[in-house]
Amino acid sequence: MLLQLGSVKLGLVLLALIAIYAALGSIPLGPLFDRLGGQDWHPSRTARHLPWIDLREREYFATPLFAALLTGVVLNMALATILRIRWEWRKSGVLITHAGVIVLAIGSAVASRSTLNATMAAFADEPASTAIDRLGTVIGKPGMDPARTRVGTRLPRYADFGTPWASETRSIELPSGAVVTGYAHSARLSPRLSPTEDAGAPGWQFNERLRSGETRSLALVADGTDRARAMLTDGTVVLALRGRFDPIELLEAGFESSSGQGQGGSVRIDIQGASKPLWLRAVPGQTAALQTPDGEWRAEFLDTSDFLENGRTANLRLVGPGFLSTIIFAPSWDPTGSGMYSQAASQDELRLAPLPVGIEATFMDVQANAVLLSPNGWAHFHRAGVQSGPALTDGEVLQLSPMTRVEIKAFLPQSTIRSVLERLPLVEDAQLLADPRLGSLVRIADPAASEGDGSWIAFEDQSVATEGESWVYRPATLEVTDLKVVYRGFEAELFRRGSIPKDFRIELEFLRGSDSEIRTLSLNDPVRTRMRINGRDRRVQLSLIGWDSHGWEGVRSDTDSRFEGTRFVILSINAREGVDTAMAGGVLILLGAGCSMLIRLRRGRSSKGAMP
Amino acid sequence: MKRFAFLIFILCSTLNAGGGVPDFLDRVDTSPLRHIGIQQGGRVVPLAGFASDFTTDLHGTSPMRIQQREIDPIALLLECVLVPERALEWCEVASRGRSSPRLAGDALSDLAFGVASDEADAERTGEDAVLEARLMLLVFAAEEFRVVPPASAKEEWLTFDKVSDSELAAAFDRLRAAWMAGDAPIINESIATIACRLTESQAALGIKPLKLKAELTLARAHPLTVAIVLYALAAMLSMVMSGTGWARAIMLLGLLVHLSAMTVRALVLDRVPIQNHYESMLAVAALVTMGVLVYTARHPNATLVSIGALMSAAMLAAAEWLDVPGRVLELEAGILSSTAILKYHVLTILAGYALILLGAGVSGAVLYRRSRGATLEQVSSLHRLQVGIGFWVFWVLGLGILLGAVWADRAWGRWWAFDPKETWALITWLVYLTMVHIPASKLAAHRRPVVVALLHLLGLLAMLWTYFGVNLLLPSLHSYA
Repeated sequence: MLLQLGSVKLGLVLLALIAIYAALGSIPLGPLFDRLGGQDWHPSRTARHLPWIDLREREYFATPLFAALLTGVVLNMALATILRIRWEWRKSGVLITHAGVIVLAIGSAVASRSTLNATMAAFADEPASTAIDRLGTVIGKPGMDPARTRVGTRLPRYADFGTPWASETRSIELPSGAVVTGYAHSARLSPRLSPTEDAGAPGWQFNERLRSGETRSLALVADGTDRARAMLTDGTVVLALRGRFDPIELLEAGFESSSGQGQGGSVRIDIQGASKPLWLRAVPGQTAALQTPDGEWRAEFLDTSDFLENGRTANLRLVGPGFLSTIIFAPSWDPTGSGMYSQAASQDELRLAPLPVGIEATFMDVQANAVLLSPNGWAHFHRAGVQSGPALTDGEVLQLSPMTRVEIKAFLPQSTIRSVLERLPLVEDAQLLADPRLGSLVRIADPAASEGDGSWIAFEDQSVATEGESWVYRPATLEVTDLKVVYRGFEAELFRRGSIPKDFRIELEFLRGSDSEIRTLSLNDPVRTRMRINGRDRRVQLSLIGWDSHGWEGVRSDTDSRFEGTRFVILSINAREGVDTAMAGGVLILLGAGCSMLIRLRRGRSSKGAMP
Repeated sequence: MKRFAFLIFILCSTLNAGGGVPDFLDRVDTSPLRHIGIQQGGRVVPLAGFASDFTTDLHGTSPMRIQQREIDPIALLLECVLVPERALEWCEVASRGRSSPRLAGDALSDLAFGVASDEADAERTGEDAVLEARLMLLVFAAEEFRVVPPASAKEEWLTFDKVSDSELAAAFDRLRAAWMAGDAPIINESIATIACRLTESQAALGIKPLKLKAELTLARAHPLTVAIVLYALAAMLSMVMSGTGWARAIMLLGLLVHLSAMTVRALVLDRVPIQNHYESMLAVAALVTMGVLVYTARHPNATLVSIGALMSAAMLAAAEWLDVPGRVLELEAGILSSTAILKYHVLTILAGYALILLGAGVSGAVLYRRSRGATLEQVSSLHRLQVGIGFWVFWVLGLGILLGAVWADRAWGRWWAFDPKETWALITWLVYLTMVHIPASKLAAHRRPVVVALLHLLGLLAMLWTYFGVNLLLPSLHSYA
């Protein structure tokens, strides 16, 4: 029995099956594709793209069937080596080769079980510790358990389709009962800009994908509300307030002292009738009091909590006149999130109740890259610190980050807030490399919630599907907890007679606690290091897969400035576990095969005439 | 749109002007400018080659022939650069749908004042777009005439109207005035001065006239056509003559011509010429020839010589005469430039392909002889050869795949991802893995030659799909290869 399992014949059959399986995964089926039920819009027409198979490349080559075939070959070879091959020096080549196959299989198994495919955008002089998981997508809505709504591998992606679905309908059941009914790449949603104050309500419009070098305006429109919020692709939160707000007060309230500590922030509470807002540092145990005509208000900062994986909220205990009991209140950057609160009738009982009239609060979190605009001034919060300034005039521009700026087209404090955010052009290829889902939309219909066609949601935005309900569609993120990467410099070497880069060197600073280390990453020479990602120590390799090539043009003509052009780089993070073992297996296979050939050559000379 | 309006303006200013090729063009000597460099697509190319391409783009062929007169491409280029409104009067532009080129002015007139009827369809619009592009090329040639080197290699080259060198600027002004007046002696004097000054300033930037001359020679001499003829001759000789001496000698001569063309290409481009499909086919053909010459030096085998020579000739002919991507000289992409591992990977894979071609050729001979009733003994030497080649393919291709994995690990951050090219390289390798296990199998001896030969042909099909099909038909990270 074992002898049969280790037979050459079985081995060759298994090899043939592996070859056929692999071929089916990549060879176009031609007209047969349609006959087998394939959809004509699909740009790839292989067997794995048939609707009843529907597997991506990496999924197709990770099926139990393929794994069984590979395991079968390795077992067959191992049995043949033990039972059929005579262990003598003339067979040393074969033995080494077969040992190499086993080493390769072990390395491959380890590597495939510890896949990590992530990217990290590192901006000039800004520490980065969050990576985008290229294999995961988060889709959901407020209040939903993210774990239940993670659809991950089932959502279509650019890498698979490359073209929009157009009018194609395709249903993907989400755990919540909602259905993804459409997908479009090369497209994006942006809030509609009203040309005049009364030109209609703010809304969403469907635009084509950004082109390289293009600047796109984004309007932040608040009509009849006190606050408007938008989030840019680079994660910057922009909040415009119609009411009074003085950023200098914010700084005086201690924001500066808390910045850089990782958990800092401040809470501003406007209480109707008070002469000035109540400022509270976001440090547990901090309290503040405010005397109003109705009596004294007191606030205590409790802690922070994550809000929809999309921001943070500050949890406060408020005591003041006009209320029966203590209020536990959670303001956030998100205007729609301010209503998240609880009222405690007693220490043991918490129940929901409407927010008392007269309280407006905003939590400024130093973890967020954000800008706050008001008729009285502006403040910009980012990881490296806080900036603020006086009231902005029309046409004034705030440079928020290397890639983002805000231009005030019109700021109408007495009526509608209308600030226009202008995002400097990001290079679409680099964006796609960072995450192929950028610039893509999904259409979601929730059969239980409405009878409409559903709503499009953009990868980098939220859109309100129905009042009080919004969907989130974004990549899964990975947190690096023991290391921050800072992009410090970019040098390029050009071909002598042309303008094409020949090589480049990226200088990265690795910050681990108080230790700092400068590492250089160049073309085809990645940086290898260890990272603690989502609580797990990983051996990783950082490669460069994209950079600000729009700015690259600037670098070519201006060599004096390090970041004038390439102000960000996109790093690819890949796991290293098992790779060296697999490579060693490959070397052993070739070494053994070489030995076999030499031995055959010598034997062939001494035994001419025998049929090989 | 603005450009087209400018075309209309030029047209209106020249509608009533007289035509005919200016007589002075015959007396203009542009030879000093032939080996001057001009920037084109991020690369510096010889002006003579640029002018020839310009003429081809405009006229369909180079040089332009009008009423039995052959117009020097550089003179035509200078006419378009210096006096485009006059060039419109006598230059003939190619026009799709017409058997012969027509006057640029007439074409412009048709384009500008042609009444768009309801019958105008997409095809007509497409023709108009091509014609408009040609006319744009003619009228705005001055914008492409970037012959003045910048202060540093990083900057764009300049057109002659942005020259800071006063002597050069004065020479250009003299040339323009003389060109408009048709004063040939002054023109020739100005050209000599400009050529001299440009040669100096280009040399200061590191531009070597020798390389420009080499590029021009490569374009004109067609060395690969010579190599194809020599290989074909060697194949015929090995079939009709009893010995392999003459055939090998001619094959060697073909290889020298072949390698010299590749060497010139390498020198011109400052890189190993194995970056694209065209160049890789040249390399495979050279490797096939080298393999045959090395092997037959010790083991004379007329069949192998004729198979090798035929394969090399066919591969070179396909590269030269079919529309294979990569024929145009281009700089190396950064991703392909700065590591030796990648070059070894590509070279090893190409060596594997060359061996596969040879193996398939030998197998073809085995199958042919067996089908004609040859005994096992009669094909034993060929069988040995095909088995030996199979082992070498297995090893060389395996090495190439391993080197590719090492490089991908460093450059792309992953060593293996079942990209279509990788998948098909693996499938090809599995065919040869099967072949190397034939001696260990219980397959009857008399069946082995045919089975091995069939596996070689299967390997050839897999290789051809990997080499051409995957690159040209499937999306892959290897699409450039």
